[in-house]
Amino acid sequence: MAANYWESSQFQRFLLTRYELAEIESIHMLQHLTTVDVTHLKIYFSNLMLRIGKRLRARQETIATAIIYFKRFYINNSLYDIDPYLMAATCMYLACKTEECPHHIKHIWGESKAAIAEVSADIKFQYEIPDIAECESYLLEEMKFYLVVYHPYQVLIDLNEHIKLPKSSLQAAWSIINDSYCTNAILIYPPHVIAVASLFLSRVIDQGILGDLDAQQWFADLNVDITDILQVVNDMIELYHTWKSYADDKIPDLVQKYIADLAAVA
Amino acid sequence: MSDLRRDGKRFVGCSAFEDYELMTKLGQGTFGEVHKAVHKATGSVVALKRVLMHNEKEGLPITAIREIKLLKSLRHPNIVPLSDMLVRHESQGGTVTPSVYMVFPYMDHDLTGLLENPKIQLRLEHIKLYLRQLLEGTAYLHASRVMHRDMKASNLLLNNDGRLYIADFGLARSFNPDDKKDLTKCVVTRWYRPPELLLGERRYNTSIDIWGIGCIFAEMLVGKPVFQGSSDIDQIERVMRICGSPTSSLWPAWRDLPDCKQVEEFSSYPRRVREEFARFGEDAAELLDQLLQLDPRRRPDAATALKHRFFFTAPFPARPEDMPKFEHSHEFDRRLRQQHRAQQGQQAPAHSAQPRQRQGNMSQHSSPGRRDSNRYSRRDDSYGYRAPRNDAGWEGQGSSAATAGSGGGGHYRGESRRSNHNNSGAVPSRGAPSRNHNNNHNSGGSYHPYSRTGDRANGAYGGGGGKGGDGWR
Repeated sequence: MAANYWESSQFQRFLLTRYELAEIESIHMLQHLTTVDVTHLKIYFSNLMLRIGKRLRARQETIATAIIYFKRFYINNSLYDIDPYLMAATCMYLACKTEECPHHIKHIWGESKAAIAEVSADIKFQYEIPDIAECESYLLEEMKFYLVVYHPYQVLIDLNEHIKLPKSSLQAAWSIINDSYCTNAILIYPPHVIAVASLFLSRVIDQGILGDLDAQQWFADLNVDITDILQVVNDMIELYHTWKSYADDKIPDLVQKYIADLAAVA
Repeated sequence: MSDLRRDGKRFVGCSAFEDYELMTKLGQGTFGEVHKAVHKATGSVVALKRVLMHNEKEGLPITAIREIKLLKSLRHPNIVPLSDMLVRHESQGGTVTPSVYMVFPYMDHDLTGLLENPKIQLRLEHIKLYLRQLLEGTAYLHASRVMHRDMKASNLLLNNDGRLYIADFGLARSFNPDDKKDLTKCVVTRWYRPPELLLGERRYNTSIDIWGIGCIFAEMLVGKPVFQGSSDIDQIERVMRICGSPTSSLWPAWRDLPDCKQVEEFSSYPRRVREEFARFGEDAAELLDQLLQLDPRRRPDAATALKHRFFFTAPFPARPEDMPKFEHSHEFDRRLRQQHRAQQGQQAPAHSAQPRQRQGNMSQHSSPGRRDSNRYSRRDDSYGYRAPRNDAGWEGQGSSAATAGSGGGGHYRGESRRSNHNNSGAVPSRGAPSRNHNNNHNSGGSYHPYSRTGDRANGAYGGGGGKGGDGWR
């Protein structure tokens, strides 16, 4: 992309601290949900967008962009304000456009509908094509038209130029980055922190070898704050721990109930 | 759920449409309009460009997304800053129609308007200042891996502080220099289109912008566009007349281009760029000779051009603060004048023989505060009945194809110009201030003012280029 991350709105405007995010969540979500529920919701909607993206044969980065849009929108808004299923479809639609792999809106609509039906037949997706277009304008407005986002994937590829990981470790690190989109990490840390953390974690899991370099020395030389990396690693371990109790089919009801609770308060 | 909007400071969303007060219209194309407006709270004057929704059901077109994305990620003193975005939701009969506006700082002129204003005569030091800024902005763009793809005088905005801004990124795209991807050839307004595009090249690079800069440079020197082709074929011939016919020594690779056969029927012209522009000085002619190389590989990049002697010899580039304050002049003003003239033209044909007078009012610097628009209003008789200028390139509401290939118009013109990309056969109706400009469509060409909608079937994917290879991964 044209500019660089440090000049970007992602860094200058949209980066939150862990504390800020925790506060937003504790005030808005934790009145109705447990922390485990909140994590489950994040997994659920990330997976949903992954499903839609896969149906569209979108690249991983496009899907990641859509997930960031989704997260950004719901930092300031509740699931009650705009139906998250509609928003998920809309984020995919917009992300496909910004990442230069556009699909016709009808196609997005159809595949979203199919992906949602795949998750559960009980979910009502009663929206029509113009609703996605309208929703897109709300999304754009909320994001103030800042559309360019940066992802850890490219950093991982660049780092791998130096360390030449075995393919399995690289694949593991890539998958960990995918999973990191189920956490808030991308809202808190610059992409390279997540990329390095994923490398770190993949090495620990894999017990692979970091090329010819001494692993500890390599990480020490990276000039990345090791506490940040450990925080991300921590988040990931916590995520995987919570994932054990996750089941796709339970969440639609949870979403329904949560939205109903919010409606009652409103 | 207003209780959820806690962190209002960080996430303010867009400004409200009501924050701005609309003033005069600055431009009008078939597909949109630009208004001058005032931000009520700060009093700053802005231009509001409405993003055109070809089809409300499909949300923001990808061309607009590209433009916004690029403008948001670019920041340079010579690139127009996107200062704000507005979204307005109008509900009618149950459906909500969003309108999206881009907000730019208001600029006093565009280069076309300035050059057409007979009261203004640019001197060489002014041209040097403008050209340097144009090259600096372009060098930044290209270093940021962005091709503008629609360089032309009407896309250059100027303010009265001597600053030039590159505007209208509706056709721009980011590129990867290592990519060997085919791009759409339906870019660049015809008069500014480089020879390789005219001959069907699809793997062009940033040097297409450099050709455009050469055309703009020549236009500043001469006072009007230099290659005013009436069709793509005519365009090639006009370029060849000055830049010479392609030969294997001038342009080794030219025979590999898809449409190179078109050139063979022309008589062979010698290259005479230097001779043609010698009267503007040796340095100017030499720089122009480099910028207008037929072979894209021989054109200097923007950063190299900036080091040319032209910028370091007397007369030196003017300092921005020394630039005279011109009365505001936009391309659209001329259209208004012509409309006005078209309405009254028959009553005063006698004036039409008057030669165009270009009196420089450089010496009488008007005070900065005096930007009296009435001085140069459409009521001004000295403009009302000027002879129809052949070089004016009259565009009737974005319908005729004076700058065809991509319609007329610039930054302030809305999106009309993208309407007729694939139109190669259209004959522009130049000069004549046609009263019936709305009926003035070129019957010969494939052009239709709404041909854009014809594109839509695949246009939603490929962006401006219809079936262009562009935009796909």
